[in-house]
Amino acid sequence: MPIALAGLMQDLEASALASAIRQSNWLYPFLEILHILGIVLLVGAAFLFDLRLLGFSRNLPVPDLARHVLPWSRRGLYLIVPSGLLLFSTNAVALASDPVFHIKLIMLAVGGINAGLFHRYIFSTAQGWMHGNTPGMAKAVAVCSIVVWVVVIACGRLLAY
Amino acid sequence: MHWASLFLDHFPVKRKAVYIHFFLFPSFLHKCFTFRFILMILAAKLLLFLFLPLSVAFSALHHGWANYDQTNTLDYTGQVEEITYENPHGMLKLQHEDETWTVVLAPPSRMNSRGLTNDMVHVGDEVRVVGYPHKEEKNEMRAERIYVGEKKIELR
Repeated sequence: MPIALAGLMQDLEASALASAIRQSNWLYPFLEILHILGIVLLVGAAFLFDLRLLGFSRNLPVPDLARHVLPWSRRGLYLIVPSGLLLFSTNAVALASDPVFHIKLIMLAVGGINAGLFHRYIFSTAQGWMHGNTPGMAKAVAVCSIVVWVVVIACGRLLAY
Repeated sequence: MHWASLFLDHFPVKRKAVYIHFFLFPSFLHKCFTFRFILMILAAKLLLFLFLPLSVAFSALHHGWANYDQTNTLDYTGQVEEITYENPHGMLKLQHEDETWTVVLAPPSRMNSRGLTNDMVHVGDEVRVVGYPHKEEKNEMRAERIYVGEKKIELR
């Protein structure tokens, strides 16, 4: 790890906020609960959308389902990101050099790029498949999304004490 | 209907990535049981490939339950060199036969409810700890219970 980053991590871990979270009886579990609630929203909604792309419940129109579940997926991030950053701050030095944490961040990036590419190139240019079977490309995106989120959750669980 | 028409129907799509993709995953293949079976096997292999390194990293780095040898119970009494009463779990350094042991305790909320409060153990105090040694990490143990003065506190 670069020295500047290591110093930053040490400052973060020694900060009053991180220390307060570590020492509080309820704050740490509270943040964990928020983090998990966010995961339920983000990943739950994403999985249901992925399953539709994979061919389950073909009677549901894809745009309607997207309009219903994907905003909730996005709102999950508002719970996950702040709580995740705070949980990270309590143990920043060890986490920053942990390979499991690196895998988690890389997978998050892959998941984000996967979703971005789907919306930019597949969802926005779709014509015939909105009300029936989806093309193989959309299925590949769905499989990628499911694998990525399972790995991210597994990494998260392995990181927690 | 000619099978190729299923494929050619997609030709108006201009995007190159989508075009290439139809060569790899023609859209009519989803009906083929064997193809689905192969896809399932591939997905399973992918998961295995991803989780194997993860589980290796897990056993080496973390305080998971399985990483402590429960067939070997340690019962050490010694001086406390350092104690942290913090989330996600408390820790103390115990001096025992010229070695310093890292003793993993429980989350503060649990220790508090079991009767081990923040101000009960200080540096220099003598405590007795019963627990299991880490399988890889030298001089680290997970405490099952701790004796402070006359008091016995269960941590699991």
